[in-house]
Amino acid sequence: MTMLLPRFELHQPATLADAVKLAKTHAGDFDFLSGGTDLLPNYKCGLNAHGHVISLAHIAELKQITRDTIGAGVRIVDIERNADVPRSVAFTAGHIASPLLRESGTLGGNLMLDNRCHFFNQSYFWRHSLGYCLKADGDRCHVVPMINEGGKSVLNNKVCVATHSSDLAPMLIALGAEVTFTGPEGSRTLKLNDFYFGDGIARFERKPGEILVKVGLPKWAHEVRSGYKKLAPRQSIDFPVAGIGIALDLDKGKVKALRVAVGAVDTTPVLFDFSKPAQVKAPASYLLTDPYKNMPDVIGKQLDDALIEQVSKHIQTQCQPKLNVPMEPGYRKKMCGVLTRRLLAELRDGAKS
Amino acid sequence: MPIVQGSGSTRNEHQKNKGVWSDSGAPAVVANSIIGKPAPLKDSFKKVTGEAVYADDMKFPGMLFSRILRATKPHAKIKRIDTTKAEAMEGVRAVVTGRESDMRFGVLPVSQDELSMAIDKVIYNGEPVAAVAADSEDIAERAIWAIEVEYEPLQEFLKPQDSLKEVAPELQLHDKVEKKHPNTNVHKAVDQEFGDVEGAFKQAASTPSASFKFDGISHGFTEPHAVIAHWDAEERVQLYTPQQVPHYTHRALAKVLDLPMHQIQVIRTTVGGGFGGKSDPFQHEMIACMLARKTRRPVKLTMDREETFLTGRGRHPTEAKMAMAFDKDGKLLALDSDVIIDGGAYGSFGVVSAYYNGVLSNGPYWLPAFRYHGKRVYSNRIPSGAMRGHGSVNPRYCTETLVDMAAVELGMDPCELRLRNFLPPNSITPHHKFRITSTGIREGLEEAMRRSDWKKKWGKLPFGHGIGVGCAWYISGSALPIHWNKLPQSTVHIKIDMDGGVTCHSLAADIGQGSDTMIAQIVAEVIGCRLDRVHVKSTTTDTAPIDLGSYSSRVTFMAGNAAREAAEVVRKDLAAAASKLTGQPAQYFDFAGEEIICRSKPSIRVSFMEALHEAQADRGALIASGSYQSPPLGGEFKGSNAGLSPSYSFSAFICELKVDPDTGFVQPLKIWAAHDCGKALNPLSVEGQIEGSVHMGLGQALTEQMRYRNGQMLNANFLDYKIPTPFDTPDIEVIIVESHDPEGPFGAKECGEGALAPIIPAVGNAIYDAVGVRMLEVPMTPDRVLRAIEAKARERAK
Amino acid sequence: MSKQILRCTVNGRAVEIACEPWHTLANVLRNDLNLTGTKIGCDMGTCGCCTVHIDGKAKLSCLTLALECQGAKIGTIEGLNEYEMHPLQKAFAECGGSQCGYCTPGFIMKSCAMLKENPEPTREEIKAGLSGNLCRCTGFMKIYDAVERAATEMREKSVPAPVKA
Ligand SMILES: Cc1cc2nc3c(=O)[nH]c(=O)nc-3n(C[C@H](O)[C@H](O)[C@H](O)COP(=O)(O)OP(=O)(O)OC[C@H]3O[C@@H](n4cnc5c(N)ncnc54)[C@H](O)[C@@H]3O)c2cc1C
Ligand code: SF4
Repeated sequence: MTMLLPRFELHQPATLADAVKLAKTHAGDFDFLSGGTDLLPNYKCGLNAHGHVISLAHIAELKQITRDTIGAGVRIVDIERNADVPRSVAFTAGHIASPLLRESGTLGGNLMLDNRCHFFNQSYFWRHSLGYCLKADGDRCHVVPMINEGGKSVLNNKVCVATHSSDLAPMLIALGAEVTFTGPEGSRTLKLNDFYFGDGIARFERKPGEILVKVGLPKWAHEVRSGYKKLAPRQSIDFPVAGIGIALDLDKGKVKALRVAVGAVDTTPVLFDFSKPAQVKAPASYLLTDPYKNMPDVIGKQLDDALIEQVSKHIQTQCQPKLNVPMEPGYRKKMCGVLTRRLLAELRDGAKS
Repeated sequence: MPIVQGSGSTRNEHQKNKGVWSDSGAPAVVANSIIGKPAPLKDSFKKVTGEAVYADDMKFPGMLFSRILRATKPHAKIKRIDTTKAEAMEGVRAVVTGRESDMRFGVLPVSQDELSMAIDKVIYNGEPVAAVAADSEDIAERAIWAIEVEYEPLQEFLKPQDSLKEVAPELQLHDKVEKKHPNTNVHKAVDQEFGDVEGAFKQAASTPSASFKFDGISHGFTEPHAVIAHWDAEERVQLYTPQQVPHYTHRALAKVLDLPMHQIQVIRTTVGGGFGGKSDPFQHEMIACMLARKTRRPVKLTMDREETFLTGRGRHPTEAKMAMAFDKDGKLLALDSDVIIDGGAYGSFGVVSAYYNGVLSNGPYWLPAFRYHGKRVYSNRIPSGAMRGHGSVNPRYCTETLVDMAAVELGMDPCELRLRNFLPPNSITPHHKFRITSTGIREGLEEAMRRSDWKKKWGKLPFGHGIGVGCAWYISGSALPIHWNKLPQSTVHIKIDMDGGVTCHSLAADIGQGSDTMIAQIVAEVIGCRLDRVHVKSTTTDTAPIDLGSYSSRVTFMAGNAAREAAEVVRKDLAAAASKLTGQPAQYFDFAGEEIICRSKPSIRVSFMEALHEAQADRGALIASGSYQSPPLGGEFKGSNAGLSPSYSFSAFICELKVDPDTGFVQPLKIWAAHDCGKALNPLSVEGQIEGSVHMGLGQALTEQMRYRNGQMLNANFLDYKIPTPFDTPDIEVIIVESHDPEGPFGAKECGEGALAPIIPAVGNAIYDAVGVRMLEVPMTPDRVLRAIEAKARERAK
Repeated sequence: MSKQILRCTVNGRAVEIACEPWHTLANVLRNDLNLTGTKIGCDMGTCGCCTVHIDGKAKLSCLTLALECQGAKIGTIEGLNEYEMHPLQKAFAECGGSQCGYCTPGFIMKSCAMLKENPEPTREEIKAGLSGNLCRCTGFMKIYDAVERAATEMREKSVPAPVKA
């Protein structure tokens, strides 16, 4: 049989305003649908489905793409082929999923796709056999069954560590992208990095009914060296099991700014901003990778092999992948170091683009 | 088309009484107009337009839809099943459970251990427990979850070692286990020893040994399982099913439904890939029929991808310990192997698998001494069975790795060492008496070496870049049928009426490998007609004579020979007619280009249609039958049947690849695949089979594995079960080797399975050449490769 | 929750059909319109068997809601060979690009959209273009051959865009 979708009512607003209105009307019992390449597989598995689906696919306001802003409804393939966005962004887009999925998938869906876990991305039959988990229908976590609370090891009935598996998110975070939302409570713009929230279930700092409208790239994003490296079992189709996005600003070989964002190793993409901003978001839970602990000083230093080694070691040490997506955590952790080292060297040695 | 001619064998002694096919003693291929020419598969035109009908594409008036409720525990007693809520649902037409039938079935007569649905206990997560037929899939799906099942968990057997232990009767998964290991979950044990193994190891100059581990592999055919059953108004059962072996399903249905076979018609729908995964009689086939019996309506049962994985029958997870002995010149002296294969919940083809894992190591090298201890165990996992290269693939990896290790130890080129040990043509292996009629493995390996520039590359490429070799052989059909009887293994009927259409009936299943085209080519070649005159009807048991189906690489050899024999009968009729029309003696006609030509006076000729109409005078349609039965073969000891085949294919592959020493990623660059198929009846199709085998083998080598968490398969979907994508598949250069088998139809042997095994060791050995590590776990995933590289580095540092 | 009318064209024919909101395009094509040439292999966007054209783009019909195709031009494998076989179809058969045939419609539909965008692809470009389709039989080599041959034929004969869609 085909995997049946649960029953829902479909709404197809033509304007953002209508979409927001619908979101308000069906508050708590709806999902937005963009390209559907993440939502529909999850719905087919019966994962947290709702009674209403509000399609964003017919809203022209979401589909603009320029040098500096990319609408949330822009298809991945159109980012991949766009000559104006930073090359690293187009490159990353071109390594998402497969050509067929990139025709449907959109930027919004990519940044907001649901976190992944091999106890979660399974059929109803499978999850029923297992006894479900926190993220859908259940009351425990099979990845981190016990947690430490007040020095005592207790059953984990709160923390989900499902892996955030977007390719574009780390790249855009490294480039300092901002996101603009519109919702029942109005519009707001914030740093993409600040939008993610370290919990596999909540995932975002999101207000009810908010729609991602666009992603803005600072001028800086076009000026620095940037690139992406993806780790995945196969060279097409597969989600990343680690992804490194780097933006590097070099001044005569010395580091002016370095932002490394690592995807698919934790519940959110993790930004390592080596300028060590005074105000960093505290890890939302103790399971989250802590980028700033023992972070080496790199700003102003010559980006030689030793420094690259230091940076990659730090990233490797801090990343805490979980055993819930393909490939072992220990291996993925190590690869975070290897990929960072390689990408940094490439960016240093390659032409600036 | 690069075709290498192998050291063909002459027509040897035991061949005489078979008779040479051509009535005039003419060369084997007379007109050579069709055989050996690339021909598109006959049915592919329907496939490219979407016209080909697969089971799930079919609709019948009043058709119901079915879903199966599957066990959610790997091993548990069923305390209670309550179907009342499901039965009461609107739109539900029937619910069946294990109570429907306690008749056990299975593909092998010795392992009749499957129930249509579990009765007292479930033995794997995914085993059918109940099923519903309803007005829509949607209703059926909701209804199965309304069935209440109460389980009482039992101790689970998830590691082969656990299955070796003695347990209480209630913890035995099946009543019948291996006699030598009573009170365990050992399904079959094979212990064989021939020649002086101990002595050989004592005198050997090199005795490489290692322990290997292989994950389970799934066929991954693209068409999920789907069947439609109809209990029609004439009280006949019609089952539409994409079967590789309609005949075994036919037998099993008769047994389970308690009906005479002639009351059942099995209709093979277009098969969307099989690879061994559609060759058992299946529970879902029984279930659909039971629901049809209850409702008297057509019932469709289509599985989703996960259920297709759960139905299983893939390559056994395997643990093997192996040692080989070589003298200082690299001559193979002995093999000692100890293998445990995890059979999962059912017997399936497992008794054969247990033998094949040992006995198929008796080639492609001359093996003077052999010891094998093999065990197939039952476990609470997805049933294993036959998959492309059945039983030969994993042990082949072990032996080819050990051969490579010996070469390194003896300071020899691994190809050279192999060349010193190949079985010669016209030989009989010392112990199992496998009869080698033809082999072109030597020519194949030499050609692959030449094209790959082996001598310049092996051992000489920079670190991280390597080249490796793997050789293999495989049966061209099992010589002994599964069911002991005197029936031929293949029969083909031909009917030609005045319209000039040549209709061939066969039950050999075209599963995409092109067997219909093969039969048509053979018939057209023999009677000299155009290929498009010949139509092959190979789908229904009502009209087709029995054929044992598409497994064990038997079809070209056996059904091909049967087709040739039937066509020869027709040819005789046509020759007699031509003789009547021309006054020339019948034995002096050649057949080609739709004409029947007098050999001595080529100007005298009659057209195919003229001769046909003359031949039909007073009798109507020409009807002919041909059949094939393997000659008596083999030794006289228990289990001597296993591995016997009227002929064997041989292959020699070379793989060049790069290993990223920091990430462990392996990137194959190019594969040279030399395969001896006897005679390429259709080179296009032979290449396709070899390329497909290489791709599938690469999957097992590098990315594919059935992963489990406890008793649940973790990756029963195409996202997580990693079939190589186009990017992961390198360029494949096929080298067809023709050794002209004396008994194969026009010299042909198998090519669909044997070409899978050698790629895996070729990759493993190339990894060794690239980075100096022996991969003892398959698939060779990046994390495993990296771990091996790091372990090696640590060892060096010490 | 009730059916809504989907109005679109399928292979050039105007279609008006009542659909459940939760039915995918693949469901509707196969079950309601009897266009069973579109296959379902994994139903989760991984294998590419269900590829169809939606407004000229090759997309996965298993991950597209039917009602999201309101007003769209949909093309399926059955629409490629009106009056005569499309060069891609012929080439797939003749080059051995189809064995069991189950993935074939998907490969052909994707190839077709690819050739529209890039009439003269290199082998590497063909590989890249088809990297979301899985074939278990052929090892891909003969599929690339087929696409190359069809591309050549289409350039020479300047075959018009297929499907009236
Ligand atoms: C086989 C397969 C492989 C994949 N591989 C990859 C991969 O390698 N890398 C990768 O990054 N992704 C991968 N994906 C995931 C997915 O295809 C992409 O991330 C895609 O970009 C998602 O976009 P979409 O528009 O289809 O999302 P949808 O499914 O439409 O939406 C995803 C989620 O985002 C929400 N959403 C979408 N747009 C908005 C918006 N504007 N405002 C608020 N909420 C919104 C939806 O409500 C939904 O919860 C893969 C998917 C599949 C099926
Ligand atoms: S990590 Fe989250 S999704 Fe995975 S098992 Fe734990 S709770 Fe469930």
